[in-house]
Amino acid sequence: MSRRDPGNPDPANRRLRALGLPRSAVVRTGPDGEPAYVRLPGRPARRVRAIRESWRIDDEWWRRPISREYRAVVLDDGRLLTLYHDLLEGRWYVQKEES
Amino acid sequence: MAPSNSFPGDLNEHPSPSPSTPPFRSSRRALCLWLPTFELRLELVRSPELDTTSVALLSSGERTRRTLWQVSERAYDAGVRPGQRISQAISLCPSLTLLEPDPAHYDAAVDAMLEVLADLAPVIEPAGRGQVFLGMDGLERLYGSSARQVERVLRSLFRVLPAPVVASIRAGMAPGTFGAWVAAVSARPGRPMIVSEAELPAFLARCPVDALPVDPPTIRRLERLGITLLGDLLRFPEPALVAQFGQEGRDALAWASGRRIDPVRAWHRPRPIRVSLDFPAPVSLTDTLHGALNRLVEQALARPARRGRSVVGVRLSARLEGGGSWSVEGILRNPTAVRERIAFLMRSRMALTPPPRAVEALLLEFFQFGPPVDQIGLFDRREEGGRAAAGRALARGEVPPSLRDAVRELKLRLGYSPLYRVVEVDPWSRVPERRHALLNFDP
Repeated sequence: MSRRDPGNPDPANRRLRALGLPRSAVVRTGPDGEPAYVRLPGRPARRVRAIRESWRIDDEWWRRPISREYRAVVLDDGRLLTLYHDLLEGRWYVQKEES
Repeated sequence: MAPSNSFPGDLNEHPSPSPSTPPFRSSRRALCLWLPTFELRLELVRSPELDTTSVALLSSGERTRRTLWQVSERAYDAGVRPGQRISQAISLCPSLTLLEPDPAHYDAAVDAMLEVLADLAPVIEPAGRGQVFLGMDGLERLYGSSARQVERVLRSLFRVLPAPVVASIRAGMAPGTFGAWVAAVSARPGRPMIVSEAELPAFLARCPVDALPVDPPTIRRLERLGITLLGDLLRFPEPALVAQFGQEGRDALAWASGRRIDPVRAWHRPRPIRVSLDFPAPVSLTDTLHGALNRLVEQALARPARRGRSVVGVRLSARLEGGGSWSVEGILRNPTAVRERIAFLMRSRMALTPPPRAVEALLLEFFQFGPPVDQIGLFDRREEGGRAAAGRALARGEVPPSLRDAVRELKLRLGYSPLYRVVEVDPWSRVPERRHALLNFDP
């Protein structure tokens, strides 16, 4: 019997995978409403050292609306994160992580 | 934007390190061991009969117009200086004995020394063959006072270095590597110089400016301005020094005042991969040496210890006929695991500095490694496996045979292809996760 990927046992499901899916993150905001601390699942919380950029996306209002406020932040360990605040769900996600 | 998300209480359980916290594996208190003319001293120990004569060690890396590298005290008294041409030195001291350098012998001595020191101090930082810094933070609990710590270190070196070499070591202990280095230069053999935190500014103030690790032209300019001691620098305001010397002026003032303390940084040396080849008879033919080099590179690349890593630093050494050794080394600009690129670098080094005599044995060493790059070869069209059969260029979209073979092997082993291809889905989408997807790759 051949070995299978335990995380994804059905070969049919391996045909297509989305790339860059956002992951849930826990973010504590400062008094100005900007991210002050970020904790990714299974990792210690890190302080946000700087916010490099911010932008907003409002799209696909005709089917499933998307409304996000993005922040490109630098953490105190030097990593760069792209976070967004889902304005419809009220939750924070991390979209991209660079070391 | 309204503040949101109550944060769990464990947020502060992982405080980030404060900027003043020294990085992991570094030591503020430094011990500098300095062995002036280390290589020449090793030669004199090997040939004691030379001890009463004027001796000079030749510099390596030159084919013609060779110069002197290190000179003995007797030769120095006769006017011979490092950097002089051989003809000039011989005219000054006709009885001068010239020695070819034996880098393998010196490196072996340094390796043995570092091994012993690594057992004593957790942080060691070599700074060339004859200079090493030891981090001494926290060792007082193990070895006692600073003087006892130095004594312990020096005593341990008797196990691996000849006694005359250990006896010539100058040891200096102070906060930071600069302070320790200046202390070692000021020390006499067998009389270590120990400088405490409180004594450091006063100690540095008495030292000459040429101890500063700045460019020689800066030292010369300082001396022309009448600044001969580090203490003289303190009379000048920082803006004036920066205006004259730029960043070097600022650094010089920080060192001279004892404000700048550079900790000893832990030295990381990956375990080298070494392969060697003994020739049945001494070889001097370049083609034969090149053939042997190719074989050695192949062998070294095939070693499991490489663990797929690319190679950055390569050293080629040889045992020479009649004794002595020869060595060249090179750093690859782009890390690689391709035989020809590594061999080419070493061949060019050999062409610049060929072995002075016939070679009895050749040793190749990979001493610095880069990230794994083996898989790049699967996609690189310049590589044999990245081209179609018979070397023709691949058509657009055609899968290179090397990649096809790799997928076949993986499928045999796993039952499916674990490779994916990145495909564009909606590249102009404003929503990042809609732009690309991974598609299972199974050619």
